[in-house]
Amino acid sequence: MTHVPGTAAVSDSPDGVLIEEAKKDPEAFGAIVKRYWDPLFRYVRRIASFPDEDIEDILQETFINTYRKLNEYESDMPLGSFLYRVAHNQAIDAIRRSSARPKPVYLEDDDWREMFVAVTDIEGENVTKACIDSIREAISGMPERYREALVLRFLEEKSYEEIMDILEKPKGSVATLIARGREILLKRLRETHSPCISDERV
Amino acid sequence: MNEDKVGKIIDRIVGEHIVPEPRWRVGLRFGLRWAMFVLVAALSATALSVAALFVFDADLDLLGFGGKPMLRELVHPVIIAWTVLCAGFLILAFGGLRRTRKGYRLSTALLIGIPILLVASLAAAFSLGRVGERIDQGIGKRFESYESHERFREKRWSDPARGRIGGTLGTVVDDTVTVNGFDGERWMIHVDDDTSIRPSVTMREGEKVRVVVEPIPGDGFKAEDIRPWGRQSEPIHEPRHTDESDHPGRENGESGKSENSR
Repeated sequence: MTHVPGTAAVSDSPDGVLIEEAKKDPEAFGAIVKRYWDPLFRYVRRIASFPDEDIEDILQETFINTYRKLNEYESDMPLGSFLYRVAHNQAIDAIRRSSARPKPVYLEDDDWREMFVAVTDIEGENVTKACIDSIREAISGMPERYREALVLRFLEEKSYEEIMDILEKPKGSVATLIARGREILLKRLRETHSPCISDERV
Repeated sequence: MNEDKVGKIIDRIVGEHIVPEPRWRVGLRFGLRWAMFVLVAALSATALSVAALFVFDADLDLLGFGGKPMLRELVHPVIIAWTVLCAGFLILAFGGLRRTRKGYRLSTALLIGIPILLVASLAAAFSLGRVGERIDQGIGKRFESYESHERFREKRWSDPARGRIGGTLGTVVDDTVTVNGFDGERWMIHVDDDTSIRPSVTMREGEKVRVVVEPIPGDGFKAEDIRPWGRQSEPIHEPRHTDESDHPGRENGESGKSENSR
């Protein structure tokens, strides 16, 4: 059987309605896929250094798994957080399967700038190309759990509660991961004499 | 996004007959996590109720009596073993609660507080229902090397040097009673007006009692307090001045003596 593109409609319905529809009719699940594909694609690319095709595979598995877990979803959590959680677990599995060695993280220059500004509170215009390269190096070498927390907080702009639901960690642990991630990032930038940071500024 | 990607996912769901996991199975899966949490909490509570059996048997009013440091009274291998078991299961209970469906949303205080409260409540219920006692007896019967609470208690009350004598009442003549110890000893104990006798003690031959004694220089013991062998639910009473029918020959004033046949 081949799906006819465009049949996954009702894309402006609330998440809860879409979930109930999808439980009865798999075609309705298409609207959820449409709504969340792009943000999840961006998120997986930010936490895992995979080519686009691999990320698409990860997302396909993410949505299939989400479909299997539809009855697990409870409305006291945003559907987005539920999907981010499944995507996160899927991406982490893929990272662990792919290689034991960490790869450089793929982020757009704007992402690096955004992350740096959010973490350091330094004006964005001070962030030069050389500065971005040093941030890229610092973040790529950072332990996975801190990097994920920083990506969710400063790039995905998720609240602490949402990060808590995505990572399935208590709020205190989330706060610790973010605070510690910031510390590690700033420490690495200082140690590598990053051009975008100086003791007077941070 | 490309419509084709949506199509691929829907095609796979339909083609592979993928369906959402049934609600009952989701409920069962998460219910099992709760069941595991309750189970380890119950095991922790059971261990605690057995440990409590030994600790509360220590006659808190007698701690330090007879020169033994108070702490050593409570630090006994059996008590330590049960306490370690209780703590181990409690730690598993912390983890169990954390692994329940919404466990990650609980604050650290709740993650620690809920299992502790549950274990304490269950342990209290188990103690009242004598669950700990039965388990202790069962293990004692099955494993010879295990020192059951009863044996532990007998040893604790076979220590006249520290003022503790236990056993069954033998003859009660005048103001002297004989107590047949658990390992074949026979103690002769003097009872006087200052001796406190708990209300539930009948002083009949064959009754199992615990006697707090004071050694009398020379040989013999003076009874300070005569307690029933069973549970110590009664409050401590003032010394009872018994009449002759209770303690024949009391007025004779003979000093107590001990005959240790060991």
